[in-house]
Amino acid sequence: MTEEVARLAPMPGPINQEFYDGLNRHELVLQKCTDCSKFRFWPIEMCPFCNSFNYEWARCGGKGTVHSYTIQHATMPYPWPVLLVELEEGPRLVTHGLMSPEEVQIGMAVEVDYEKVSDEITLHAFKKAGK
Amino acid sequence: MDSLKDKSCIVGIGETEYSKNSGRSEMRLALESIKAACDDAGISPKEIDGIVRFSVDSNQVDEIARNLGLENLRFFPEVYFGGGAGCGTVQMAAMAVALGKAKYVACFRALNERSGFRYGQMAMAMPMMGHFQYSIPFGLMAPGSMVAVMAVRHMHLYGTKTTDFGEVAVAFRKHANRNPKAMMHSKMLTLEEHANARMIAYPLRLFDYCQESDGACAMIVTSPDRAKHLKQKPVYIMAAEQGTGSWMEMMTSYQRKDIADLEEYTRMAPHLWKEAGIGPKDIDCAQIYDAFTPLVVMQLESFGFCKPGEGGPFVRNGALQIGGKLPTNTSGGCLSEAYIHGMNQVVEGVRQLRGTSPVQVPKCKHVLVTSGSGIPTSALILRSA
Repeated sequence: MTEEVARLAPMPGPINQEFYDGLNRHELVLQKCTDCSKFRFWPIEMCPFCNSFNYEWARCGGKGTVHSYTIQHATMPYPWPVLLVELEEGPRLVTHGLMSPEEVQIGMAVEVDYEKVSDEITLHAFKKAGK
Repeated sequence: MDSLKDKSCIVGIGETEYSKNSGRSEMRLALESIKAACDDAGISPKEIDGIVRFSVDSNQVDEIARNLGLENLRFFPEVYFGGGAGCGTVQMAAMAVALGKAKYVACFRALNERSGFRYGQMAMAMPMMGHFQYSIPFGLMAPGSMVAVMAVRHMHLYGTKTTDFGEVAVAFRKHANRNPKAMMHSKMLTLEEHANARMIAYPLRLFDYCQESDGACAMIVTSPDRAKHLKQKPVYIMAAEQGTGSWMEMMTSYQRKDIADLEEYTRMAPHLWKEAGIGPKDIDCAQIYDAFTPLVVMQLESFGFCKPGEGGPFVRNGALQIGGKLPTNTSGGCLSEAYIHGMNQVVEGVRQLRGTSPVQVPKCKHVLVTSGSGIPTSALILRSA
């Protein structure tokens, strides 16, 4: 374990303020097209499926599976699992894995959790899904 | 005109030395490489009427033109997306020459990547805006970590082994050991040393990562007619393409259906082969962008040297070494020669086709060169005269 480094915090802007506001409330909210009903990530102006500009911020169930991962052995307090989680709603999120590196497996069921990294910013993180 | 095939050629190449600290400005490096490429071609720098730069290069075209004393620069586009730009600069030059928009076009890349801004430390230097805010704050701190996520998926789907990544690193190092200009010229590497090196981002260890380098490369593109009167045997540009694939986002195109498929190449490749009129079996030597070893395994699949998922088995038993199935990165590549954003691999491709590489492939007629992975990118097929 090296000395803990401060977590880098994102800088919200107009396109993604809702996403970060949701995380502060411990809710995972993503853009959902109100024409074709598909979720998308990360926040962008247009629906890449149907090219609609119409969307809402919709709360996700917070459940998904590990699509891929890496274990950081440098920079972060290591070993530090980084997961690519495929949500039930479709989009994939890069997230911090709240489990030991040995436990991480592609296909494992995970659910959302939250980590406060500053007074303004809370990030999602994922843990093993409860039984 | 519906094809670029053989309508232009590379007639000059220039390089600086490659080091960890050049001791001079990126402008000086750029000018040295351009001047060397002109000398190599047998033209005066004043004959340059087109310059193509990487958008990430710190050197602006007007200042280069002022240094060279150019009085009528006619063509000066730039190509975006870091290491993805390399072959794209040559594509721009080829198109300009083919359409008569310029006579002699210089393409270049100059960077003090080791003594100046190091891309491996980008997380600490960047405000967390744009799409990297959705990866870096979660611990995906550098390009290698972003590629590791794709490599793990490839291993999961196809049984690719970390020793396959080792085969890539060792092959290119062996070539570097024969190339006096390579930064790793005097450092040997074995599969065991690769397997036991420091882990950085599972499954990537130290020798899966490219060099960090200071240096510059340049090349001069002109028409076949003009080439007849110049010093070197021309190297013809048979095909040149750019590509992105679906759901492109720089380094983290993770919304794609298959993240183990480098779509930016897979979807470009049919256009490239069609324009060149040849196929993977005709390639004598490949220069494959190798910022990280798994990207080589995956590109072999994208360009059709093997089927999807078979990149691991393909590289085993020295297939990428001189004498192997597909001699690749014969100067050492980004992994072992230098990281000049892949422009050193264009230079080496030209040398192979002239027959002047220190690690020469016998009877080399056709070379594939590719640019950066995981970003909007480009590739070339070159042939000897």
